[in-house]
Amino acid sequence: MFSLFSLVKNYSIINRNILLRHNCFVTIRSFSNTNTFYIEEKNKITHKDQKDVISPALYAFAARMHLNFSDPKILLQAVTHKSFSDTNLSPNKRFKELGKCAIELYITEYFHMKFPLLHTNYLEKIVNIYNGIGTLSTFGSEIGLKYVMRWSESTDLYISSAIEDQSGSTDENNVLYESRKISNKIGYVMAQAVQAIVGALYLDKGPNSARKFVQDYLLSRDLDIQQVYDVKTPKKDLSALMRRLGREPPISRLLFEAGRLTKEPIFVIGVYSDTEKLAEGFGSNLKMAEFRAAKNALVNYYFKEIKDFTLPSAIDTHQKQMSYIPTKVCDTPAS
Amino acid sequence: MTLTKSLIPKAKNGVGAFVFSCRKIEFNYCERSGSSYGMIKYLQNHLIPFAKINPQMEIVVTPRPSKHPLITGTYLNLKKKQVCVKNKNPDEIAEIVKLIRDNTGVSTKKRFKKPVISTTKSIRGIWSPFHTRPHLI
Repeated sequence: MFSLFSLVKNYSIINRNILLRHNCFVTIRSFSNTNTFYIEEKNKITHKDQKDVISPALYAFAARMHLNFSDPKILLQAVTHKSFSDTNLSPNKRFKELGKCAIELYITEYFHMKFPLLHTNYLEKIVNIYNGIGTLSTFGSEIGLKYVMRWSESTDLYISSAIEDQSGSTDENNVLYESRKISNKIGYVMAQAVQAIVGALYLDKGPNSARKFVQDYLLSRDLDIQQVYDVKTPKKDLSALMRRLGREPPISRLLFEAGRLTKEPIFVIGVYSDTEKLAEGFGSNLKMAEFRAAKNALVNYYFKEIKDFTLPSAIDTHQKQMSYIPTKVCDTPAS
Repeated sequence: MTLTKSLIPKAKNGVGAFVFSCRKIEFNYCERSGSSYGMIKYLQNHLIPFAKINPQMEIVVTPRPSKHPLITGTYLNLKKKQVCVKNKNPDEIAEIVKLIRDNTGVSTKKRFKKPVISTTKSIRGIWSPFHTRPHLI
């Protein structure tokens, strides 16, 4: 007979971190600095604190996300929702409040520097997308936060009431509403846990590591930002912009056309200010092509990206402060 | 135009930071059967060094009496990969564990239909606009 059990037992003698369960359930708890074995058996409990045991899943989560907290309990607290009652730790509410503001700050700062000419409304929209609950909960489910989070669904009154406030429930689509409520719940809790982790990083490791977390995991996500830009009257806006910049008013010129008298004509129109071509647009009629051309011209102007910039929050030393040149403050359009 | 569906930025794993996609590896073995012999040798000698250099995943060892030994990898995209390792020696098992660890969990099944490739020549030949009946206006 092979004696794996005894092998594990020898390990447990070295490390006094033991939980025993009757069917020889062996788990290796692996973490960067504490690699310990422990056995769980049902009746014999030699561990001192049964409530807030840090599970192997949480250790693995910390190692996966490169979270080197000074105390693993901080991470445990950050993933503890206030609906979870069987704990001595306080819930993650305070971490969450801090992390929410930190995420918003770093994301706003980044897009503010990256698109200096963008209108404030659209900047706000982009920031809301990046730090919204949808993005945070998607991120949380992608990193496997579901398996380490501690919460309970039944006592979750706060969240259900928050959703009720958002949309008045009617009787006819009550079933649909109920199903959405349940699926939303875990999303809310997960988003709060992500915020709490950032807040805990901010408190424990300082703002730089919180900024690094936000940049690595949230700002690296990809979004076609021009989708956000919905403009109703691009021709009017473009001529207003040109007037403001003191340039010649925009003129549309037909560049190419094919099959004007057929069922599927194509026109390509270029928008010119004096002799400079601002943008091109295509369409199946002249009006549509002109609309697209004007919109592209606006996009080319407002969504101008700046490649190399220094974030204001990255300046921590005096030397950096001396060499820092702030980006030119943007001008906002007349929309 | 109003945005009915909320936009969510897509994750690009590895652009900012790389998140390891293998979440958990479970080892199942039987203490009595001979097919688990290599597996138990692996657990005794190789598993602890493996767990030490791979802290990013949870490692669970569970007995599964009267069954062949099994290694199960669970991934962040909710997929699982199971490999039966009956009668394998520890070195072979180490290879399989590495394979499970380095997998992303994305299904390898082909999602598209097979492209139609024919080795025989077409009887009618390739259609050409210059060799058909000329267009009359």
